Amino acid sequence: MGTNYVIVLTREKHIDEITVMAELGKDTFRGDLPALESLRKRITAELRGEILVTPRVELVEAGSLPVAEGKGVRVDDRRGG
Amino acid sequence: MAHQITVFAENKPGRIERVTRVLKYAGVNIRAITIATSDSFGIIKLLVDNPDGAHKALADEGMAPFKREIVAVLMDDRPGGLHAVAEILGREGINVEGAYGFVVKDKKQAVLVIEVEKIPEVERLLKEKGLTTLSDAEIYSL
Repeated sequence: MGTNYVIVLTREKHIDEITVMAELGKDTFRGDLPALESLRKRITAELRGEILVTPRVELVEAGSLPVAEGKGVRVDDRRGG
Repeated sequence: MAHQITVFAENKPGRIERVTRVLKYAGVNIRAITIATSDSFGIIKLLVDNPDGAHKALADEGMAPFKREIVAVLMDDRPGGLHAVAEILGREGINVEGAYGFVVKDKKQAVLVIEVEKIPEVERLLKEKGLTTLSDAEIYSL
C-alpha cells in the first residue's frame, strides 16, 4: 500500500461512520481486481481488530489525497454540530 | 506472448479520459479496452500497440499501470468461431480469469484475449489443437 490516507467521519441517522481512504501504492497494483478487493477486505479487518468498529475502506489512486503533514490533518470530520 | 496494460482507477467520472489523454499524447494506439469495477474502484484493461510505451507514459503521469501477459487467440469471425476456442478451453480444464474479444473487420477474423494462469502451457496447448496465438506485434499486423 501507499503511505497516504485520510479518515473521514460522517453521521448518518445519528450513527457515526468512519471511512478510510487509502492510496494504492504504485508497486502494490498487480493488475488484478480480486486481489484489490482482498486487500480492501484485509485492511478493513485489521482496522476492525484495532479500533473495534468496522470502517468503510476505499482504495484511491496514488497522489489523489492531500499530502498529510501530521495526524490532525488526516482526519476530515464532516459530522457537523 | 502478448501483453495488456491494466490501470487502477477510481470509479468516478473522468478516470477513463485521464488514461486515454495520456495515451493519445504518447502516440499509443488502443486496439481493445475493457473495464472491470468493484464498488468504488476498478481496473481499465487495454490492448495497445506499444505496451512498454503505454506503461511508461501512464506511470510518468503518476498512475498505477501494470503490464500483464495474456493469451491472444485468433478466431474466425463466424458463428461458432468463439465456441471452437471455448470448447478447447473447457475440455482441457483451463480456467479463464478474464476475457474480451474484438473483430478484425477487414479480414473476417477476430481475437479472443484471455487471462489465465500458466500462460506458456496454455499457449502450447492451444497451438497443439491447431489454434493460432498472437504476439504483441502480430496483434497489430492484423
